[in-house]
Amino acid sequence: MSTPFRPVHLVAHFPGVNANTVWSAPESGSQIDFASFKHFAQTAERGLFDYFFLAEGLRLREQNGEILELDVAGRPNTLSILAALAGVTEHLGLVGTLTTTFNEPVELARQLATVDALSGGRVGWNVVTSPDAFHGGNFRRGGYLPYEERYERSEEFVRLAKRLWDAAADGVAHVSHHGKHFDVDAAVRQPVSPQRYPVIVQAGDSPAGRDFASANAEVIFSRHSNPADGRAFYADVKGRLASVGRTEDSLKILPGAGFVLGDSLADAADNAERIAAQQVSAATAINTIEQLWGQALPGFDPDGPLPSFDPVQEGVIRQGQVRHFKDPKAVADQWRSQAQREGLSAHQLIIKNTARPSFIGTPHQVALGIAEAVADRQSDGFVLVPHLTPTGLDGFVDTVIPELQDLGAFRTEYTPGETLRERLGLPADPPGVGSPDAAAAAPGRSA
Amino acid sequence: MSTPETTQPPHLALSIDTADLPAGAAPLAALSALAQAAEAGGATALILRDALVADADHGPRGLDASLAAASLGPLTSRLGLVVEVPSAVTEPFHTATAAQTLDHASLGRAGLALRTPSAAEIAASGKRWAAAGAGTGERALLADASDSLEAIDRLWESWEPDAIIRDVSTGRFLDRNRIHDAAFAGETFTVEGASITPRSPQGRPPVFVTVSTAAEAALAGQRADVALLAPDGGASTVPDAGWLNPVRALADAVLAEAAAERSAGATEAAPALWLALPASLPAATIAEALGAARSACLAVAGVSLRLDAGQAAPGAVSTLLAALGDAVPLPSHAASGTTLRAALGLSPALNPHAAARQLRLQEAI
Repeated sequence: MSTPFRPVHLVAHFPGVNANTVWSAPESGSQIDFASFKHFAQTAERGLFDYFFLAEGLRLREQNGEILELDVAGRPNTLSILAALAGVTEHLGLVGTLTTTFNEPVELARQLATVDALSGGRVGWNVVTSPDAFHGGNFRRGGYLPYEERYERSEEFVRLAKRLWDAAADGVAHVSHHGKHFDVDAAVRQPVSPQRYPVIVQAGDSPAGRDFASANAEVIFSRHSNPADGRAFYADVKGRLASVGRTEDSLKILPGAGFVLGDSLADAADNAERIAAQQVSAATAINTIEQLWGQALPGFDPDGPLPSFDPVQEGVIRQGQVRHFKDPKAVADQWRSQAQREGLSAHQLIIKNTARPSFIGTPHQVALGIAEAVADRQSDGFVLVPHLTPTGLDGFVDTVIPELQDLGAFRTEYTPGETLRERLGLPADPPGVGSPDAAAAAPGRSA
Repeated sequence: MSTPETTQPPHLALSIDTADLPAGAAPLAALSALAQAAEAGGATALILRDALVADADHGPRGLDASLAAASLGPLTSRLGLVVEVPSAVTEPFHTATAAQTLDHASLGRAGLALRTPSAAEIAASGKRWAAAGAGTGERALLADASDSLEAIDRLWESWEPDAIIRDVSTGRFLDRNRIHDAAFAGETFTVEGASITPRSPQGRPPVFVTVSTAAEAALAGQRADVALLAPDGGASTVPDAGWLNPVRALADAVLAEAAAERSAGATEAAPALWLALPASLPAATIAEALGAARSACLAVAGVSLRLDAGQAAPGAVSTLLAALGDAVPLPSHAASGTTLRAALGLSPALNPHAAARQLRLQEAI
């Protein structure tokens, strides 16, 4: 059947510890019981998703030195949950975030090879760096890494990891590496990774991050979910690939996206309102205002107006999470005039300004929106972030997936035995295979 | 003198290196078939031996033990899953959350066997060990292992059982007063924050320590729930009269250290003593070794049998366990859903922060 659409790739992001995860609804389940992970992953597999994704944060979030109480917290060890899910899924890709800052190459390369072997070639690694001393406080070396060296260490880490995966695949017994960040002599002990390398995912958007992506990444988990930004980012990133000898299909761009379904557009919009109100409790609204205003606001009434005085700079320190206000005074002015114009209380305003899901509508409308965005080269698919654990994907799988299939934009079955790399339509040889650096590993063969 | 434990049937654990699994088979299929055979045959636990690098004892294709065990969690229902982890070259924080996650995924059947790393593992671990500025002698490594277990324990206990409150009226998911920083400061490293993982079903997965030297006996006496007595690294071929003396010396050293450690009013029991033996011994010889140890008044609570390459297959495991069941009375099967702590006869781990809160409440009344 011919179709005007390109094949859509879909990722199931476990909601767990996201600020927009609703924990107060009766149907909100455990964020840590294995049954929740099993339900979510098996639902994604029933929906023929490309892969399951779990993010990581290596310290509980704090504000002003105290653990943040308002959002869901408490997550599993990323690698361990991927390994456990390998046993209860058959086809689904398994991708997690793991930092190159507080791991070491021989151990992590071996762990990823282990999960790839256990799952029969279904693993991906979202490579991140974590330079700050706050997270470092939980690790042997503390906050040891200067900010500007974080991608340098990451590059050396991934290069060495690839040599270790190559060594296992090619029967090389010993790997030595002596560089700025690592001194390693290792008699290789790890299984052959069925994919040779796990699929490399990258999420950073800084210039260094984009350089890292064009050299290494096979998937970019991007933040550009509105159509114009998405189209520009897609063209920019795909345009860089030729200069590093890569084809356009060797890197998939998958933005994060929320969705809300309904029986009609109006019904879906009502559901979106209700969910936004669940996402932003009165306490969360006050906390957001305190963050912008840079100070604690004891006794503040969220049902009244916003504070009439101006924010102070950098008074409230949120740790363990990216902070989102660049010019507090300008944002405060904008919020106050919007509240006055629309007659909103402080709480109502924060609800209203909560990031809206990318896709709101009937199952058919949502499917069409996704398929058209991919056809329009805003992305190659989406990382879907539901608002409920563990059932947030159930309705999507039951109703939107069949619509996407009817449009001819989504697979109707898994190909038995395919690796995650094959599923994503990536070239068989990942970046780095056969590179001069890999050839430089040759002396290790005699050891 | 005979203690009550000597009358109990001994626990049986099988210990494997995943590098010895049959070649050619899918690793998860081979591993789960072996684990299920161990479970069906009445083993209390499967111990997954591990090392970061290949050497004479560790084959080149070995899986990461923690992750292999995690994959077995949902595929087994009674078997304890004990993972060997080298200290010093691993992060206590990662080791703690991996064991907690294994415990969540197995509904309370995780165990941790920490050991000091080899020189080859240190050489493979990058610059981290050098950066810590610590020595690599036996004493320094044992001190680091002891510190690691303390830090891991604090992380395991960092969330009180009821820290998640979901209080809609105040908008609070957590009660931050029920989450506690590890706040561990040792000689060579610190761990500041709480675990990222909420309290696991067992709270504190049982800690196993293999004891081949006096220094390891001290570590086991301080920190272990189970001491695996292995005078010659567990490789004895025929336990004879000469075999019992070093076993006894190690057992005495473990118990002496435990008594000293616990004299300060600690409520924890001394470690259970297990024998580590090769699975290649005839069942009758294993029964004799156990009998000899018990007649010599050693309260041996279990035996860990080391499977070698030819034995790491489900058929061999079933045959071995059937032969042993005829020679040695094994404990009746743990019920499905039983935690490893319960199967081992350990009392439920009480969270010290919650206990202190309870005490304060009682004093206030």
